Amino acid sequence: MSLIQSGFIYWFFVVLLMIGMYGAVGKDNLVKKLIGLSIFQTAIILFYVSIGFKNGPATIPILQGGHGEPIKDIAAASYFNPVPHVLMLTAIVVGVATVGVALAVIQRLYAEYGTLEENEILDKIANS
Amino acid sequence: MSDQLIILAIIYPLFVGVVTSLMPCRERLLAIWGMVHLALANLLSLGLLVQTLTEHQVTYHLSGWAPPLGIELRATVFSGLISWLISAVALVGFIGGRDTWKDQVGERLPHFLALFFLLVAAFQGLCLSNDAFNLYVMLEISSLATYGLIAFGGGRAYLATFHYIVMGTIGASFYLIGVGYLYIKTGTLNISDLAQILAGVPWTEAYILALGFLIIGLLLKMAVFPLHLWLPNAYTYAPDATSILVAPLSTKLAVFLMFRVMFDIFGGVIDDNIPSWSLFMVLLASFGILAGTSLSLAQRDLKKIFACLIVAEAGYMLGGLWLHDPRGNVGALFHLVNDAVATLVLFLVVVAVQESVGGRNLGHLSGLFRKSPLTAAALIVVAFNLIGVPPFAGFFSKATLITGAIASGRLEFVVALLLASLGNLVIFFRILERAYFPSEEPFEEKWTRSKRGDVLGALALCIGLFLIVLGLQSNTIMDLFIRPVVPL
Repeated sequence: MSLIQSGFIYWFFVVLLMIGMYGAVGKDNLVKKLIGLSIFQTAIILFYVSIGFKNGPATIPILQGGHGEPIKDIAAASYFNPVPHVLMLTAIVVGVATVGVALAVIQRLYAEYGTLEENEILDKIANS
Repeated sequence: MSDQLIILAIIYPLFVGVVTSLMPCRERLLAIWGMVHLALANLLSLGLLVQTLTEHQVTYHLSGWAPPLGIELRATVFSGLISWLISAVALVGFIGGRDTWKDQVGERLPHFLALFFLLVAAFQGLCLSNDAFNLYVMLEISSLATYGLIAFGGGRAYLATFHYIVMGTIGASFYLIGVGYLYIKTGTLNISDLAQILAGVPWTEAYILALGFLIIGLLLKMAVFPLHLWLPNAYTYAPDATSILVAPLSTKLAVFLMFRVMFDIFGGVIDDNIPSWSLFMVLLASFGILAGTSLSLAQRDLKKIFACLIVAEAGYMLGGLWLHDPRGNVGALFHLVNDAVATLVLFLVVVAVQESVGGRNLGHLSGLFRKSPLTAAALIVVAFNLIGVPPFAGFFSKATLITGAIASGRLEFVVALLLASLGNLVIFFRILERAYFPSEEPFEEKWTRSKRGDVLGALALCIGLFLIVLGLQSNTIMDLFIRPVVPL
């Protein structure tokens, strides 16, 4: 139990990852597959963002001090790690691009076969 | 200027791609435009290769931010070679695929070529970047460009693309999780920095888990046997102008990335820490070689036969990398170079065959020799290379792999390699028999020579003969490019 409590966010990440994986691999409908894939990628974003988190009072990593006041550096111990968040900006863009390409392909598939069920498409390919 | 070569090798094709997407759809103009710029990209990569040979290693800090904070590019002698190989394959693939543009790509040609250049840029980045997360981005850019390029095939290519998107994204995401674990443990993303930190700490479960995620992700990208399902259809139904660029490079760069993970990040000491993994991996590779070859034997479409051979070839390189012997590792990297060139010839031959006989099923091949002798000759050359006849490069890479396998006592890998050679013999015998000894008596008018087929056949033959040079100089190439990067 303490194992689950101490790393709750990681368990959540793994569960989400598996839900996404099941959707992407196990479902027959292409849109559901894509939703699964999206959940899969989101789980990883959650994982990365949680890396930067820290318990207790912490601030954002910018220089502090208002206009005209002396600028205070803030100690590394007192701010969230921004790097994983920045990395995820890129990963989100990659995810959006993937979903976009996949949706375009799905649209073409629907125009071609008139269905989005994978087994029906495969049947139509086999019969043609 | 010369210290900017490494970044130019990446961003030059990128900018050319952006401009290409805005150009009018005039085939001849685009062909000249593309060829000129790819030739210039070749010069850039060649300059980089010379630079790596003289300076041994070239590094570049993006925006001047020094490495653990900023992104670093780094070229060793081997990545210099691969960088040039990418440019060269792109140029030859561009010329070879040109004839198929009108039929298979149509009026969206500028967009197709923009993706083509984007893919070249992503491949260059994948080969030259020294930042684990940057490599993920490059991996995804190359995949995204490939999805688009494959979907241009229309019809059955759409479903193949969709499967590729699902499998490819899962693979890259696994790689990303692995990078995340490494980042949690070390706080850095730079590969050289990671290597330094990892060399000084005992391997806990977190590191092993990170390695596991990285390796599984890359196995998917490499299309090793049980994870290969996306590859044959995607490469078969893609336009020829796509497969001619993607097939020689895509899976090979995943192999190169696996090499970087194993030797640059984890310092080549995986065997000492977790010996059971290499046992499993070599077994998987042996199995994959046999499975890929048998899959290929079952096909009747020339392009699909060759696509399945790529699955088998991935097994050769995977096994070589995980052999507990430097000769095996050297063999794997030499096979990477050899296989990239050989696959390029294979897919050039596919285009040449379609031009000469109007189809690519085994049945169409009948009498290929009369219609286009040069294509038939190129087919023989590449067949010899894949079977492993000396003095072709394929013989030397297999010989090195087998020496390494015997030295580390992995007989199953030796058996798989020998059986695969036998399998390739059967595959190419079936093809060549039809090409040279047609069963039916032909009508006179069917024997017209195909000029375009012959031109493409000549191109394929020239590259095929380059494989002999590669074979005869194999020891020099290994000494110059490969042995310096493999830890002994």
